[in-house]
Amino acid sequence: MSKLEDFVRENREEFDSHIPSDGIWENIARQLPLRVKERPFWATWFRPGIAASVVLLVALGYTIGKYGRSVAENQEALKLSPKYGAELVRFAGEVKVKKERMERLESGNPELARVFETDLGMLNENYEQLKNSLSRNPNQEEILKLMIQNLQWQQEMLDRQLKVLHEEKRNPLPRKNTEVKNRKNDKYNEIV
Amino acid sequence: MVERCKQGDRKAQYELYKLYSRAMLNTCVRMLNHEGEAEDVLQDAFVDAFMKIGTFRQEASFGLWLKQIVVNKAINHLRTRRLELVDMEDNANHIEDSSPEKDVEEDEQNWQIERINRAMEKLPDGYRVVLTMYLFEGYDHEEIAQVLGISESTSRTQYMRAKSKLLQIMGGKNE
Repeated sequence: MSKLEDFVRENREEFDSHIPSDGIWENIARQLPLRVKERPFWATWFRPGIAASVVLLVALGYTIGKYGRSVAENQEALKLSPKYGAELVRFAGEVKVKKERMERLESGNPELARVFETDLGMLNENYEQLKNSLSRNPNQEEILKLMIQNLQWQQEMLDRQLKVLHEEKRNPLPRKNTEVKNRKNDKYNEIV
Repeated sequence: MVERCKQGDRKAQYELYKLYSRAMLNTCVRMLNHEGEAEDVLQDAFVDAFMKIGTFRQEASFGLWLKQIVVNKAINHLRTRRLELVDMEDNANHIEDSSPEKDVEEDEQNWQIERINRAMEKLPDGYRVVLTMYLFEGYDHEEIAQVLGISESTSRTQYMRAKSKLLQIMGGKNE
C-alpha cells in the first residue's frame, strides 16, 4: 500500500478544510416543501381507476351470480322466444336468489321451513311440468307466459314468506297458523 | 432521524445537513476545484436528497447514499463545463516512465495536508476527479468506471497518472 494512500486515510478528516457558508441551509430549506404529507395505507391503494375496476368487477360478479346459472338453465326458452325467454331468465334468477336467502333464514326455524316448503313445492312442481311440456306443446309462447307467471307467483310467495321469517325473528311469539295461503295455486292448476 | 426526514420534519433535515454538509462540501470542492460552484452543487444535492429521501432504503448508510448524489451532481456539473474527464491521449508508457519518480517522492515523509490540497488544485479536472473518488471518497475502480462511464482499466491508469502528477507537482514546489 502506497504511502500517499495511507497518509490520506489517516488524516482524512483534516483534509476537509472548507466550511459551508451560512446561507446554504436557508437556500435548501426554501426549496423544500414544508411537509411531505404521508399517504395513509388505504390511500396508496385508492386510485380512481382501481376503485372503478373494483366496482365494475363486483357488479359483473353480481350479475353473473344472479343470472348466469339462470341463463344456462333456460337455453331452450331463450331459443324459442328471445322476448319471453329473457323475461323467464330474469325471474328465474330472482327466484333463485330469494330461495337462497330463504334457506339461510329457515335454518333457525325448521317448523316454518316445512310449511313453506309445502307451499312452494306445489308451484315448483307445476313449473317443472310446464317446463317439460314446453318441447311438446304446440303453443309454446303460451307455456312460456305461464312459466313466467308461475315464477312471479313464486316470487310473491317467497316475499311473503321472507317477511314472516323476519317478523318471527324479531319477536318469536308462538304462532298458530303460519301457513301462507296461496289462492292463485288453484286457479293455476286449472290453466294447466 | 432519516425516518423523521421522510415525513418532512424540518428539524431532522437540518440535523442531517449539519452532520454531512462539511464533508460533502469538501468532496465537491475537491472535484470541482471551485468553492462557489461546489456550494451550488452541495445545495442542489441536499435539496435532491431530501426530496427523494422516500426512496432511500436502510441498506447503505445515509452518508454513502448522500455521497452518491453529491458525486453524481458534481460530475454532471463538470460535464456541463464541457471538460473532458478522461485524458485519452497519453499512452500507458507514461505511467511506467513516471513511476520511479513517484517512488522517490513517496519516500519523503513530510506529507502535509496543505501541500496535498494545493497540489490537487493544480491537477487537470480529469485527474483530480479520479484521484478524489479513489483516494478521498473510497470508491473502487469498478465504481469509478461505472459512474464516469469509462472502463475499469482506464480508471486504474488514470489514477496512476493522477497520482504521479500530484507527486510531481508537490515535488516541484518543494525544491
